[in-house]
Amino acid sequence: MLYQTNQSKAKDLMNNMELHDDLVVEIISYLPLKKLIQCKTLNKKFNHLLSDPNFVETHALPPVLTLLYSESISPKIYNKISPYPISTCSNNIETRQSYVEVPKVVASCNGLLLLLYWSILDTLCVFNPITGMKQCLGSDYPNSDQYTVVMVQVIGKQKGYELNMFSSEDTAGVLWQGYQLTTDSASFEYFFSKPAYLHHTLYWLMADGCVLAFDTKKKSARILNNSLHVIKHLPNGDNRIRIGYYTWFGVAKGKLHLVCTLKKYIVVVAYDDKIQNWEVVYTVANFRTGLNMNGRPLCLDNKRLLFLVYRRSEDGALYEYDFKTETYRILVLVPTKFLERQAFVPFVPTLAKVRNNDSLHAIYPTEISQLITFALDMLKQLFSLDN
Amino acid sequence: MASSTTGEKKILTLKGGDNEEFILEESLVLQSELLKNMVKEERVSSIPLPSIKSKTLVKIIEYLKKHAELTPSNKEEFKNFEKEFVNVVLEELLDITVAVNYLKINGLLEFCCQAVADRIKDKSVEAVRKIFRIESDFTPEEESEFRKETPEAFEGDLDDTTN
Repeated sequence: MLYQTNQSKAKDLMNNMELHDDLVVEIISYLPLKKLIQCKTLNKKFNHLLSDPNFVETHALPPVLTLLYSESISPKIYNKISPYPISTCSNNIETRQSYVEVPKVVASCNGLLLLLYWSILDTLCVFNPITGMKQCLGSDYPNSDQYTVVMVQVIGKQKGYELNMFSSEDTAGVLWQGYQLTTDSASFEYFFSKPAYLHHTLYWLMADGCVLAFDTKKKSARILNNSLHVIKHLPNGDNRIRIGYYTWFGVAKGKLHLVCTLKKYIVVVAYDDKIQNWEVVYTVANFRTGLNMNGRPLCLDNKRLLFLVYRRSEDGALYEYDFKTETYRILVLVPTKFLERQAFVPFVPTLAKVRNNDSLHAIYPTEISQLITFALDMLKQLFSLDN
Repeated sequence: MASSTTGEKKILTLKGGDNEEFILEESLVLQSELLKNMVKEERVSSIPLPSIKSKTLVKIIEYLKKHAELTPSNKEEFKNFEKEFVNVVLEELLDITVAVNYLKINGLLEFCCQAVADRIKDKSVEAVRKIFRIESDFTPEEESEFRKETPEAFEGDLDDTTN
C-alpha cells in the first residue's frame, strides 16, 4: 500500500522531471549578466519572465551598475561603479567626461534612465542605455505601453501638490495630464532621494518624513499614513529617524524601505501595507572604520546592503553588508574625486523597449539633435556590458 | 518490503528508471528534501524513482556519499570531486540537474545550475533555444528587430549539441 501511494506521488511529480521553464529560468539566473539579458529573446514567455522586476528580486541579482553624475560646472562627468564581480584591479570604475552639455540622470527605474536636458527647453528623454533606444518627451506622443513619467511640484505649503503624468499608453493625444492633491502641509521632495516605484505606484520621500504616493493606474495621489519621523522602537532609545544625506529610500523585497545610518546602528525600516505604518525590520551594528566616517546607503536587496563610505585623507570605499553572514567587506575603493557633488542611480540593465524616435532631426534643429545623441552615445558606451 | 535495520543504520532501496535497485543508508538520502519527506511521512524502505535513469542515479548517489564524508580537512578534495562530477556531456549534466531539482538537493542544485550556465554562456541565443528545447514564438519582424538591437546575442557559438 505504501508502495502505491509512493507511486501515485511519483506520478504527480513526474511533471517535474522535465526541463521546465522554472528550472531553465533558474539556470539562466546563473549566467553572466550580458548573456542573461540576451535570453529575453528566447521566446515571448522568457521575455516576460526575465523582464519582470520580480526576477531581479527573487534571484537576488547583484546590483551591477551604479551611475554617478557629477554636477561640476565643466567638464560634465558620468562615472560608473560596477561592484560585482569583485576584483582587485581598478576597472570597476569607469568614467566618461564631456565639455559639451550632457543631460542629468534624474531617475532610473527597471533599467530605463530618465534624462533631463536643461539647456534644451527642459527636454526629458527616456533612454535604455543597453539597447540605445530613446524617446524624447514633449516632441510627440508614443503608443507603446511601457513607461510612465510623473513630475511633482509643490504649489504651496498650505495648498498641496501638483502632479503631471506622461504615459506611453496614452493615445488620446494629450501629452501631460495634471492632477492635484490638496493638503495643508506640503513639503519639498527630499533632495538626495530618488522616487521609488512599486505596484504601479510612485513614491516620493519628502523632507518632512512624509511619503507622497501616486497610483499611475488609478491616477490618484495620497500621503501615506504615518510620517517616518515617528517610528517607534528604534535601538538605543532613539525615537526619530533623521531624513538626510545618510538615508536611502527605495523598494526591496516587494516593500518600501528606508535605510538610515544612526551613530551606532544602521536601521532598516519597511512600510507595512496592512497596518499602514513603518516598522523596524533590521538593526545592524554600525561598522567602525575610524573617526568621522559614516556610510551613505546606496542599495538594498534580499542579500545585501551597499553603502559608500567617505574617509578622511583616504579613498572612499563602497562597502557591502551581507545579511546572511552578517559581515562587512569593501567592494571597490572610490577615489575622492568621484565623490564630489554626485548623484547615484543604482541600475540593473534591461532590454525593455522604448518607443524610439529615431528621427530627432525632424523635430529639433541639427545642432540640438546632435547634442542629444552625443550624450546618449556616451552613456551607451559607458553602459556597454562588454567590459 | 520489510524495513531492514543493521545496527543503528536504516537501509533504504532506491529504484531507478530501469528497475535497477540501489541499496544505501537512509541517512544519505536525507540530503534530498523530497526523499526526506517521503521517509519521514510514510516510513518507507523502498522508493521507486522511475523517471530517473539509473546512470543519473548512480552519479547522484556518488555525490551524496562524498558530500556526507565532507569535513573541513578534505574540502580541497571535495572541490576537485565536484569539478569532475560535472565534467560530463551536456545532455547528461542536464539530466542530473533535472533529477537534482526534482529530488530537491539544494547545494547540489546550485552547483549544477552554475555548471550548465558556464557551458552555455558563450553560445548564441539560437543554440540556447535548441539546448533547452524552446521554440521562438516571435514574428520574423520582431526577430529581426532583436538582431538589430543586440546583434551579439545572435553571434556567439552556434554549436547546440548537448554532447
